[in-house]
Amino acid sequence: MSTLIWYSQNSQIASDLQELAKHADDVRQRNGLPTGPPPGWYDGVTEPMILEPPTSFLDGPDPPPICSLAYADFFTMTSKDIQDLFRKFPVIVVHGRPSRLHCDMSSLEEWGDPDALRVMHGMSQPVSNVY
Amino acid sequence: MKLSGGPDNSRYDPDDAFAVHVLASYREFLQTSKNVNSLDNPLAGGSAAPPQLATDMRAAVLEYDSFPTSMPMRIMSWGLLAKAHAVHPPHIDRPGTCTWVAIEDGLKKWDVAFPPIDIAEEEVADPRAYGGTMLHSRNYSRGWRWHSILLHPGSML
Repeated sequence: MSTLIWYSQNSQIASDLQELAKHADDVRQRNGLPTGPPPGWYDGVTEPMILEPPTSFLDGPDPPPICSLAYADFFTMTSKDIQDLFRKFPVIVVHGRPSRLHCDMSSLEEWGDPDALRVMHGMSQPVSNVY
Repeated sequence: MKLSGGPDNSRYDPDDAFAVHVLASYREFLQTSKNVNSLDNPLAGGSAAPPQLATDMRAAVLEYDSFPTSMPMRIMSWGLLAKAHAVHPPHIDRPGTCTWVAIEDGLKKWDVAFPPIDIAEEEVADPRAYGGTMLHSRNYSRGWRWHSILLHPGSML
């Protein structure tokens, strides 16, 4: 029974991704952008690949209201300047923020007892299917 | 996946295949191959969000020490711990408030949606825009545009 559910969920995900890809291609075509899979992609690819970000994304003819700022500049702005910015750009992406933690035991110990039970979302099966 | 000294609480339970939540420890999170993710990690102390963006609620908590603790406003920062490939369907957490997310490790693709600019005010006030059409078809039929942002350590949205 569980195997059937696994296949059903993956089939649905594949169908959703194909629908999303078709929609993305339609939008890209309307905006004069390249369509189809990125260079280097072919059927059967399972390894991660590096996608070059579009350089003209925020400068196109119909740019989204997304603003990009350096961390140091953003955190030294006045409240008024930030609020004025948000009125024009509801989404702000800051880059260059110092980060320190890693997804390992020593970092997680800073969050709390590593053996304490916590609520986690877990509606999936182990990758190995060994349980 | 059974751990020495106790059960593996993150394990898949074939008798409860549609269980949404499990109870698991950080140690089990790191060891399991299951795709679990957790928001049950309240972060105390300093906030990574700029203080210039203090909301009325945060300002009240800071000003009045006796602010009701029964309301979950003292803790406004959570650590999101997620395995690779965890996916969250489109949703709205708290209408009318800002949300920030800062990446400490790994990558996270964040999709943001904008209603058509000429009907933006009507759309954001229409509860139907946050129901099934958002969840299942991303409001494409309502003309919403989606943009994906790849966040990495050092990014903050």
